[in-house]
Amino acid sequence: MALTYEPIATQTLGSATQTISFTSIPNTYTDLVCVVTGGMNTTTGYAVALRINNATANYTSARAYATGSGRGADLQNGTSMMYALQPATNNLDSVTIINIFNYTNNNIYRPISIQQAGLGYLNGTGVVASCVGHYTSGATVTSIQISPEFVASWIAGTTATLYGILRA
Amino acid sequence: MTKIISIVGGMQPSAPTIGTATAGDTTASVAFTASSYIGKGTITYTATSSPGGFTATGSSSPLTVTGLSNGTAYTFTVVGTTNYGVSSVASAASNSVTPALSSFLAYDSIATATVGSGGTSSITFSSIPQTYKHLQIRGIAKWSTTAIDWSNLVFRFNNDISSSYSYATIIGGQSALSAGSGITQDRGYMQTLVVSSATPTFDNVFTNTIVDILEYTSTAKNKSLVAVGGFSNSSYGYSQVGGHTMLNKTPAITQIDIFLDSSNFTQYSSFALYGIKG
Repeated sequence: MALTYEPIATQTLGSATQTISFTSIPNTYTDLVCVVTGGMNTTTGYAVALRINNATANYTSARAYATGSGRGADLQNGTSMMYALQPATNNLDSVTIINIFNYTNNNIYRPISIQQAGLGYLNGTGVVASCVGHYTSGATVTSIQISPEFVASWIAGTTATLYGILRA
Repeated sequence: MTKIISIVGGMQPSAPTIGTATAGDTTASVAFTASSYIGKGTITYTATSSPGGFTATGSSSPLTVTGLSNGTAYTFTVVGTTNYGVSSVASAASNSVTPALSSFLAYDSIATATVGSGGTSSITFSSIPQTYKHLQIRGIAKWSTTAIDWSNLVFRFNNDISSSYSYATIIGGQSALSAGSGITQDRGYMQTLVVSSATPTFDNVFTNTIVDILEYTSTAKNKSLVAVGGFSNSSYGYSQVGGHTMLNKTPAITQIDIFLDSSNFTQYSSFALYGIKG
């Protein structure tokens, strides 16, 4: 009998890797949660970017964020990926929590939220961001891809775990 | 005398009675009832998996078989063998189990509500078991109006419309980040997130939220609710964090009502209540 909150797969990177992928996601849960702890090998502020089923269009999100140098909010519409604010860069660590709700319900677009906190790209500063929105498709989520928004890589030691959550 | 000892030593134990197999991370625990045996020897039990033939040996139940593959279904049989080398017939096969990564056994799904084609004005989780430490609600919601507008997602504890709540919110919408705080006097509900409407252009866009309520059974602490979530469409969106604390600290939470401060939830809106052990 499947448990309510169950790890599906986990990865710990042995070397720098541009994209963390989870494929062949079973369709037996209700929600998906992915937790990523780690950093990126870039000294500029690259956001964590999420793609669903390798789709490169039709993401929409609203963000609220605070960094060491300010705070704010914005709206991202029709982007090629769903991305929050910069998490960890300059080889510094952060936490990213991705929630994908009702990922097999073909009658709705795919609701997504991304919460982040960590050290920003300027040493000694912090970053926190909350991003909500959706992928404009009712397709069942069978894979997810998590990468820097531009060309960079997750550093070795970065860990990502995908969980499935069931409902009664 | 020698013959008698030989006969006693050659006694065959009866087949163990298989119990319940339970999966773990690349392991399975196999329970069984010991063999009947009138001999004077001792019995060692061996559980064997099918497929694969992985084994575990011990003198009593349960036996833990290791080296299994997560995601593969297994059954198990148990054989008892005396120290004289006489084995029983194998037990019947156990129930099938599929090992998986270690799981959060502390997180239980209590109840789920999904709105049907007629919509609904509210969702209620009642008779909430008092056996957990914390509660979490995960949900998606949409407001039934077809105008380009939005409503607010509202929570109420114990159907109490007289309670006061202190609140604080952070709202990121469009290009503005705003915050608010205060006390709602005798309103009896907590207004948390903005919920998208069912205007046809954004028909499939739903607000998502995760709501945490910690130590909900405490009669000595003020209960707080934190809601994180929001929505976004091509024209507008809101990313929000809302926190509310019930100023009446004494009652444990036994009921949670969820509704919109305007009209109904649409079809496919759904909320799930989870209990977290601690």
